[in-house]
Amino acid sequence: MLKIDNLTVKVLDKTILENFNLEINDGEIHVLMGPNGAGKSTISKVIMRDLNYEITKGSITYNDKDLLKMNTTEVAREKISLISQSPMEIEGVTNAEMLRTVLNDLNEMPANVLEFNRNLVKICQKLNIPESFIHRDINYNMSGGEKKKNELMHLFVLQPKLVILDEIDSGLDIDALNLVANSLKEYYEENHPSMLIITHQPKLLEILKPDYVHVLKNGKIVQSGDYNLALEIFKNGFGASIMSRNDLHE
Amino acid sequence: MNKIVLEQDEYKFQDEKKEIWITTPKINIDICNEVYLKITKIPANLTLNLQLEANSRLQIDMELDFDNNQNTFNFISGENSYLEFNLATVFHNENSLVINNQVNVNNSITNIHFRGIEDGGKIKVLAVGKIYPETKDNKYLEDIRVMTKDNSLVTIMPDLLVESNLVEANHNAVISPVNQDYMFYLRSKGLTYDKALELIKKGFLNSILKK
Repeated sequence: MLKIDNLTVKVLDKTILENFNLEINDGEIHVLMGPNGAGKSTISKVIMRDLNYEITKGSITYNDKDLLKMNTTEVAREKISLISQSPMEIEGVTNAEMLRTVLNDLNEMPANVLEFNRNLVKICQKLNIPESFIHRDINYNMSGGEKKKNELMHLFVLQPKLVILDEIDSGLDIDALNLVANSLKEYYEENHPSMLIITHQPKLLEILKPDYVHVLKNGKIVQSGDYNLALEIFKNGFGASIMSRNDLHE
Repeated sequence: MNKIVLEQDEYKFQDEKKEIWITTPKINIDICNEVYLKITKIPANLTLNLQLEANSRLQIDMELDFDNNQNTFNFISGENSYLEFNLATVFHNENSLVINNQVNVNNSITNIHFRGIEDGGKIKVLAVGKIYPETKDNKYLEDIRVMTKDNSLVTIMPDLLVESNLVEANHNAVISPVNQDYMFYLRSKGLTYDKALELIKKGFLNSILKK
């Protein structure tokens, strides 16, 4: 279980999140929505221990382990994974090299090359991407859609138990969006991870069927509900759905 | 790929693909037709003069450690020739590298790529591209990048001497530390700090050698 308790985060002396609380139980799908600049992406970066974000108060635990005492590698090794809206392009480093290095390290022995390749080929087929992706440089010279599929390939190899998706739908055409959403659904059905999804895209939620939807405004969750809350937001926008802080406090 | 050792002063390559070791401090090479050279060993004070004949194509890949190296590469383009020079190095101690290019023909393409990773050393890179008057339709690129650690001393002097209006000449020089966004990304996949750094460095050098 992920538990974020009274978290306050600053960047360059500007408070981005304030007394932020969130609990995600095993296998639950949570969605975070909110206007631009509300602090949604900050949460994903803070969980992954991006040190550009200064935590001034609060705690983040995952399965009772203090994530704030960990570095990014250690968080990832707790089986927490982030797919961001603009995945990095790293020229000269192939997907296979990177994934094999991670698996070798985790298993403390070299991965069986044949088995590793066979698994990657299967994953490519599942994601409907060419096998050449395996030996392409990480996200380098890929279209927006290709990058997201490439990140899904990493996901299926690394098999995280908590998946954070930060606007994975951005820049996708309708076919790519369907493929990404259905692949995520398949991953969920196979592995039952917890998910934290940041999105503005109805199609993704229609397929993934979240358990909880939260609305973030000015660094705080101002409203929570089920999937119907997302539907209301898609229909009427944030203005109509977000209760004022006073309403919440009352 | 055949490996040969170059010990004499003069060589001519024609339609060949070779791995070469250079053992002489000064060498002149003529290039004819299509040639690929992978240079895997050079002396610390090498001067390499290389002339491309008309209509020739040459790619040189070099991945070498520099340790107190003082190397000079002089290239002369031929009419309709294509030159791709890719040099990737990890450097230690004090080094200097001079790359001179003379383009006194028409319709040639020259791409110079240098990637250096500082490992407790200094380097001074001077790249000079001279495009002569009354030449036309030439394309020329100098792309020089060095990845540094703390307190590095790196000097890059890209120098374009263009005396023709009918040329597309570019240069770029980048001196920067390891990209921390890359580090975050790779570590968020589960790589340790050291393994992430190793892959980034390897990728930085590979980015020109794999073309």
